[in-house]
Formats: sequence, C-alpha cells, structure tokens
Amino acid sequence: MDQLLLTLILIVISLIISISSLIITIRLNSKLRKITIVCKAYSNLGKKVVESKVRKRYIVFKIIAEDKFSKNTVWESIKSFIVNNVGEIGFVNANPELIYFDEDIQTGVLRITHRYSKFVAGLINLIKEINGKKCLIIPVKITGTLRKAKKTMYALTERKIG
Amino acid sequence: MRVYVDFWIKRLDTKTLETVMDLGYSVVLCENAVDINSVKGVKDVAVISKVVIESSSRKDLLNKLKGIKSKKVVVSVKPLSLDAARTAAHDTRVDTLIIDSTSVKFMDKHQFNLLKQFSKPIEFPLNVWLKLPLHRKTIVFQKLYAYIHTYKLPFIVSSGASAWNEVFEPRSIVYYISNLFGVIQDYALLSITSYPKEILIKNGFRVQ
Repeated sequence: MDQLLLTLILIVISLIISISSLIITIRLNSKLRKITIVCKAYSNLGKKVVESKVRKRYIVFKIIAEDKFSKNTVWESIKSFIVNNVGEIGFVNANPELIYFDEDIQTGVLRITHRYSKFVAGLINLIKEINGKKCLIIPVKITGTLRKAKKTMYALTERKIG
Repeated sequence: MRVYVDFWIKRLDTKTLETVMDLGYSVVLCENAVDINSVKGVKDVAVISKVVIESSSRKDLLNKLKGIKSKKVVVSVKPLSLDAARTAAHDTRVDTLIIDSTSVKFMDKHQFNLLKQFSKPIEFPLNVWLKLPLHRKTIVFQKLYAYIHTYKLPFIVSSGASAWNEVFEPRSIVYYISNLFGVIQDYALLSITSYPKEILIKNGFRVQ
C-alpha cells in the first residue's frame, strides 16, 4: 500500500514538473520572439522600402460624333468624368494626360499609369455627351509605347505618318 | 471567334445598327426595330426580337405572357411587386429578370434561391443604372454584389440603349464590370458572351 502511494505521489509530482516546464518554455519563447522582433525592427531602420515602379500605358481612342471637338473640350470632359467617377485621389493615382488629339480624324492618345489603364479604358466608353452633343468614345488599344500608339492612331484612318 | 451579344436595345435604327456592327457585336436583341433593312451588311449582325414586360401582379403577368411564345422571342420581366417577381421566377416562358431601382426591392434571398432553382439569370442594363441618382445606384449595386459574390449566380449585362451613343464597346464592359464588382475579367466576359448565348440556344436560335 505504502509503495503504491509513493508511486502515485511521484507520478503526480513528475506531471506537475513537466506541465510547469512546458508553461515556462512557452512564456520564454514568446518573450524571445518579442526580443527578436524588436531587434529586427532596429536593424531595418534606415533601410529604404522600394515600391514597384509606376509604368505608363497609352490608350488610343476614337470619338464618333455628329460634330468635331477640339483637344481642350475633349480633355476637360474626360478629366471631369474621371474625377466624378473615381474621385480626386483616384484621378491623382491614375495621372491621366491627353498627349495627342487629331481634330481632323477625332482620335487621340491618353497617357495613364499601368495600374489604372484597363479601368480608365472602360470608363471613357461611358461618356455619352460632350458639351451637350452626343458622342461615343471608343478605346481602341492599350499600348506600352508611344510609338505604337501613334501608329495605331493613324492606321485607323489609313493615313501615313509624315 | 467570340460572339458578343447585346441583350437589350430599346430602339434600333440605322445609325444604332451601324454603330453596333462597328463595335463587333454578332447578336443584338431589340424591342423596337425601325427601318433596318436598308443598312448595308445588316446580315452580319443577327437581330432578334425581345419583349420586356413590366407587371405589378401575378394575374397581369400571366395575361401578358399568354401566347407570347408562339413566335420566337426572348422574354424579360421587370417585376413591380413581390407576387410578380415570384411568378416570373417560376414561369418557363420568362427568360431573364431585369434589375433596376424599382425592381430591386423584390430581389431578396428567397428570390435569388428561386432564380437558382429555376436557373434564370438577372439582367443588368447599364444605361438604366448609369442614369440613376447616386443613392439608388448604391442600392442596386449592393444587391448585385451579394448576388454575384454570395450566391455566385450568372448575370447578363445589357446596354439598354435607346440611341446610337448609348451602345457600349464589349471590352469596355468587361473592364468596367470587373473593376466595379471586383470579379476577374473572364467572369465579366461571360456576362456578354456565354450566358446570353445559352438563353438564345434554349429558345431555339442557332448561334455560331
């Protein structure tokens, strides 16, 4: 009986020791982890975070309308439409600019950042009137180079680049 | 070759048809066609007649649907009451249900479950949505967002154009819808290609 009691007591004590040692190691580990995080944070101070470079895209578009529009009117309407739909922050991030616009053939090239290229290409198709006159702006192509954009622009009307 | 379908043009005249042909659509469904036979190359685009029914009661809807399928037409219903919405979902003669500011309040989870059960897609006319005031736009948007992301059901995007400048370029629709609802472009493309094509095939049209 005495031996049984002794063994039981020994088992209980060993259990207590193992559980307490487990708890102690877990707590120590979490403290260690905090220390390593702090050390890493100090070591990363002064390092520059490099973001991916903002690339440009060129949207070639064509305007179908009863009247011809000037470059300024087209640019003002595109700008106000983008600001109304995407907001000022979206406009600033997209950074659109009307680079070329040929008033004879009513085609142009809009420069935009690569992250917003497809969104703006879809958005300009929603413009249904400029200065109260009916029109339809069709995005024809999105290119990465200005040279290809100009080529596409004039290929639409089979006109040679001078 | 991809077949782009404009699922709803309210009024199709010569200028609209020429614009649709230029933009690359192969099939167009219209409510009112005005003197289109004089347009050159009209055979390049298939023009199918469509009937849009607005009804505010079950009886009214059933009266309007009587004998409608004797001709080959595609039927869309814009429900103006809960009764009409449930009946339209059940009825085999109805092909799609139109969602806009008046019918959105009848599109709840029970309606979506019915649409799933009877495999009927929702039709989203872009021009109608764009002309809505901002607060109504958000209501329709929220319902459609839940429809797409929670229930994952097919939907069709149509132009709802009544003039030549209200037609959309197919790729622009894909870019806009994918950014608006946060879906991949392949899924947005299905809304103007495969899903409308399935409904046309179901109605006995041969689409190549």
